[in-house]
Amino acid sequence: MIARVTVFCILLAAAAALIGFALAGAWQLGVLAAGLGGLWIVARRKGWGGTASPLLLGFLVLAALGVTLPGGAIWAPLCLVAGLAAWDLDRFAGRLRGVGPRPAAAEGGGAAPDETHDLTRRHLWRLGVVSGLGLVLSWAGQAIHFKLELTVMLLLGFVAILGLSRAVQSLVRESD
Amino acid sequence: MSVGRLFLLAGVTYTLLLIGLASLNGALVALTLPLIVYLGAALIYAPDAPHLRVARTLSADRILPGASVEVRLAVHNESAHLEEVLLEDFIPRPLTLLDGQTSKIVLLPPGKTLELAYTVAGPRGRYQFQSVRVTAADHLGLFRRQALLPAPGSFIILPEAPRMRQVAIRPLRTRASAGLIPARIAGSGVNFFGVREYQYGDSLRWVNWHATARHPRRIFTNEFEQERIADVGLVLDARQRHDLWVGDDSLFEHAVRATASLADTFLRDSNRVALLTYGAGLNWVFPGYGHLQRERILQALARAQTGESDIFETLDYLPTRLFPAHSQIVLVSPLCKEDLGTLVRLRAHGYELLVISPDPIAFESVGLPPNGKHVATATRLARLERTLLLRRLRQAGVQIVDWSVDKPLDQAVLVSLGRVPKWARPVR
Repeated sequence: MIARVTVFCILLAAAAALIGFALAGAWQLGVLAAGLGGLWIVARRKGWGGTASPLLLGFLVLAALGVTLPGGAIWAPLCLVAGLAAWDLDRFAGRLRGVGPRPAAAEGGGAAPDETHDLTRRHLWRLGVVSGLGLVLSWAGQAIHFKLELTVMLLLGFVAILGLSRAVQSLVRESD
Repeated sequence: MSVGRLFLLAGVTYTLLLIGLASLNGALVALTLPLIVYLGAALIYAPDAPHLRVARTLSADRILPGASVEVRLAVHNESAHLEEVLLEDFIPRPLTLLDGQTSKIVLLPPGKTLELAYTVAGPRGRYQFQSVRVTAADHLGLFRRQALLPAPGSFIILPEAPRMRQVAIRPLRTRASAGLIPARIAGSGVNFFGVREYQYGDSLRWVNWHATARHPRRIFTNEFEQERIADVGLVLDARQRHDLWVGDDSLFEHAVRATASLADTFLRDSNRVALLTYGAGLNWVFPGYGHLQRERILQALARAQTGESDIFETLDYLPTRLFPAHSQIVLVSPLCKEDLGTLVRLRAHGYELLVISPDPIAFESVGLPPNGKHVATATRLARLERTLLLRRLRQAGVQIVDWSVDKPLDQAVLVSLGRVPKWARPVR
């Protein structure tokens, strides 16, 4: 199930970027997005480790490039959210696969399906909520326009970055 | 914590935010919102330090080779809801997993217990389990808390001890109780010991009629050799340089099995048996009798490892005072030429010495290329050297069992000791 949802997310990210760039006339970037999606699927099949993060970065860059193009406000957040979900599920599947070791006699590897069913369901639910909320907020952010003074904007940006940094720092400290 | 993933997301978010602000591009700023929501959700649901209670149970604390042990771990959650708990147990090497899983990833609500069960097997040895690693994470896996929880447990895999027939030993001194070892003293027994003049009270069935017929006025009776128990000191040579490996097979393992068999045989015959492991140090099992002593010796053999030591490089420091005077010493060692002097000295001190010597040349030559350059010559030279050493030891009165480990020890002992040598036979 995880594998199917992951592939769906990759295809969604790639398709959104491909169609978006194609409609905006930037074919080359569309082809690049399709290539990234294809590479991601192949990497999953072949079990190449450490490819998910660079590929997510690729989709993030494409979304950032496409968000200013005509229609980009719709598909760019979708591409980013789908890429983020695929990246998350890729990690989750890897974590389930890494549980073991299983005896040599047993086929395959990883945790027993019945034991992880509940975990998978909850993970998908959390990811769905987070992705949906993020997508809706991003679309809303693209739609809502209001003017801010430069100083106010800089101040808000500074506060946002500082707040996020502090939160991450404190969690890193606690985890250590 | 999954630091790499967290920094990747945080870095991308900051970068997009900064570029958006610098370029006054609201669309870019809005594009960071899904990332901020993802990070925020992970922050909100970041796990607290897990408070878990772990209990380990083992299906057995001692097993024989080939058997398996089932390990069960029960982890009870005494803290808040843990969204994603990865429980990892570490199997001591060289145990192998036969069934089950050593790690599990599950949801663990407060008050619930997670169970992990697996089966392991392995070679001889003592195995100790130390702790269990628990990693608690949020569903998105960005923030993790890890803890090593003590979950001690241990079990022992005893060495194989193939059954042997009686080993013919003849120590100079035996103990007082009746047993199976010829005591070199006339008395009630089974084996013929000698002839003496008839004394009042002798059974008529013991009268030696042939001797009596030759002496018309005197009557002679047969005497029998008393059989008693004896003190047997087993010495296992655990010096590293004598341990040879051919693939996964170790000569020391054969020596351990042989020692276990000998201990079993001598104890079965009611003797008092002690064990000394001579390697990196001295591991001494005090002399004793019966099943309890058998268990002690097997457990000591299960733990026996080869080791190196400058002091115990030769047998010169063999603590002979541990063994009663004139008792039987059984040394299990592949032997080397430096051991000759010590063994001869032991004989000179009055110990009856039996050497079970696993043949290192036959053992090692199995792993050598048959047509290898100089292999035949080297093997022949080594064989000559060993034959000479064994001959010198025999000349010094040491009983030798030259044991090629591909054959059963019982067979080698029977061939070497089955017929009592002339010098060891009782005087008539």
